[in-house]
Amino acid sequence: MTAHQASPVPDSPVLALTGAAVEYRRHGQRVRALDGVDLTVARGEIVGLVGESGCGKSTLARAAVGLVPLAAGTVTFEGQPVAPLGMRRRAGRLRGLQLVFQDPYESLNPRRTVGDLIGDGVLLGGGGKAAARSRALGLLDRVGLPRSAADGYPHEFSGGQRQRIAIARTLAAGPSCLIADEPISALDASAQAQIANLLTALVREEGIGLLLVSHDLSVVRQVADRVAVMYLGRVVETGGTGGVWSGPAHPYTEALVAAIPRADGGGVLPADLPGDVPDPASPPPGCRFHPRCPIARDDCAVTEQRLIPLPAIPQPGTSLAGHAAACHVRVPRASSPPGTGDAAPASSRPAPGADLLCGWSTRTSSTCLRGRCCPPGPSRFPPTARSPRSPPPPRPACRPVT
Amino acid sequence: MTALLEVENLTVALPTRAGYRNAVDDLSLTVHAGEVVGIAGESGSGKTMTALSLFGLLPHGARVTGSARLDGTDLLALRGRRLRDVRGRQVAMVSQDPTAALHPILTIGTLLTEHMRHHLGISKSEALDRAAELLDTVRIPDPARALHSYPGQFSGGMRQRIAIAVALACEPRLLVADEPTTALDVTVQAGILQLLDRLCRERDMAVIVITHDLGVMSALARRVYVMYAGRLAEAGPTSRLLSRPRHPYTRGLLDALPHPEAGGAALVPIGGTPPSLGAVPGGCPFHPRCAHAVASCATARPEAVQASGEPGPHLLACPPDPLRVLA
Repeated sequence: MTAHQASPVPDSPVLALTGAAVEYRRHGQRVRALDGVDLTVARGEIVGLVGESGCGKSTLARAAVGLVPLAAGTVTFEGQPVAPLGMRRRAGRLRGLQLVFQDPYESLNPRRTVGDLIGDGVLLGGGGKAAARSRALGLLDRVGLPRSAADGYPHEFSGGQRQRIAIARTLAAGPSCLIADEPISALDASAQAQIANLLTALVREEGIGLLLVSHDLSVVRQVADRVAVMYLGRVVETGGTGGVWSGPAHPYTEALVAAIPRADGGGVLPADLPGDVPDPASPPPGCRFHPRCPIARDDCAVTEQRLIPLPAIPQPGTSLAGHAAACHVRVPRASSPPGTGDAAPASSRPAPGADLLCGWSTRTSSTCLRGRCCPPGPSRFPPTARSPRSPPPPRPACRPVT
Repeated sequence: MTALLEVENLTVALPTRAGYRNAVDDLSLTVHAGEVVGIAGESGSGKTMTALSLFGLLPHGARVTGSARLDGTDLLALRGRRLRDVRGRQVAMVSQDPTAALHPILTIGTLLTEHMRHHLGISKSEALDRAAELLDTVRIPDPARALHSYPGQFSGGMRQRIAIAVALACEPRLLVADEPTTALDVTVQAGILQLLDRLCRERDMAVIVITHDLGVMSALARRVYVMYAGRLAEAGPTSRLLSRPRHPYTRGLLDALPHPEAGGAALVPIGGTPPSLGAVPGGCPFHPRCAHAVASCATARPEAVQASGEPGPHLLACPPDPLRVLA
């Protein structure tokens, strides 16, 4: 489509965040909203970013396009650093990096026609008015709106249609990477599916990288190739969507999955995760999830958790490649060098030679027989049955991990 | 089981530029004591107008016909003092946006005790004691301190729990929850759903839950009414309705939402958009978006009648009934 897409470097991410940290100031106090996040997005790939509100998802999206300055770490787009927005004109090469905002009611100027709004990307790229007009009409076709919409104003359209206009507006710049901050949360049920399908089609057909930020794990699961789960400014689990969904390693991811109500008419209440996300101004020491964690040990309050890769155990239908979680209870850091911030007492560490540990019973592989030692439910997040018509809770998978 | 609330032929007409248009059209529903009933549908389907009509809170100029009997008292006919005696006491409401529902410059203690003192005629200290108990019920940590705090000091999930506590303060017999969890995270939503379910069973309170999220519906409601463009499309027990929907619109809603059990299958959106109030199509209002529409759908306005082949009460407003063969 543009010069940006003519020079793809194979297997190199189009967007990469390395150790990205963002700090805000509140009452003279520094609040670290984002704390050392590593994330990559490749061309033609959809990466989902999920977490509760207040976990730093939107901050990450804004930092990735340079709307907020970084306190530490780097953000690179096509190998070049993304400079934070300042008084100077934004570098032309950054036009390939675009952000879709959450609220299509506020992100479109109500006084300009849809054609003008979409044509901006072409005009800023040095194109003429005629080129902008024809590109706008082409993009309206692309996002499934009639060409006559170009002469309308944003208020004439429904939420779903407005979000299509906002997406067309970002496409006018010929992006190689889109960042969508909750693009479908503000929409109606049927419009949600339409926009999710449109974004997927764009990524697959035009080779755009997409970072999809959403609090809704079930939406992300439908469209994303990879998922990163955030909690309080940090990524706690990352991996292929299928692997993370079917075998969440971090207890927080597990709780997120268990909290989704199922529309099967079974009358099963979703499992509750007690407590609220703590104030990022004073995050809990050690593992940031430990005050709400059902499997927390004493040393969780001391030991800083970093992402540790899960061993690749082939399971039918799922890929565990790149699956990593920041939980030393589930993923003991057997492979990490001794003494690196690991303040766990010796007794709670895996015994020497215990290469496999059952994720559910915390027994070692020598005592865990897959399918036998793990109790057949209820799991640690039991769905609350209310009536006899509830199906029995699903049996937790026995998942050996190191 | 006797019916607590009986809504019959409720019609709400709102003034538009083109004259009065029906936002709710000939809706009848029944709620029994201790029962959770759901109303589902997209925005503009008349769910919220149905709820507001029970509280006399409709926009200025709205015309209401029909009846809504709560234990024999017609809520739609109440005015002035008699309406105030029922509202907040017998029926209470939890709205979608907890930030807008709680007055920002009043303390939680004031918000929780004002209507309690008015309705129940109890002293201030008694009301404060009850308020602290209520906050404990909805799991707000440190209730004594929370009573002296302001809504802005709480997170969204906690504010919604406080809004529920305000609604529950006078032990209403009917609670109307309008999209109670739409603005919340899934983990917080799970907590609110468990809370509503528990309160409903412990206090024998009836709940009408209004949402477009059929997952929430499945978890909470025993019976569901599906509305489209102000009219009833389908009504039946949740388990039947969600596992074997008979109306194409219910089927469409189920297919359009991502579900944990759907696997990696692509989402199937419902084509088109819901009609605006001034432009509801003739015949079946859903026919322009319906994949199963036949010629008669564009002319004859379907009435909700008992669906054939269903074991229990199950209303369906779709005469061609295309999903019956598939079901």
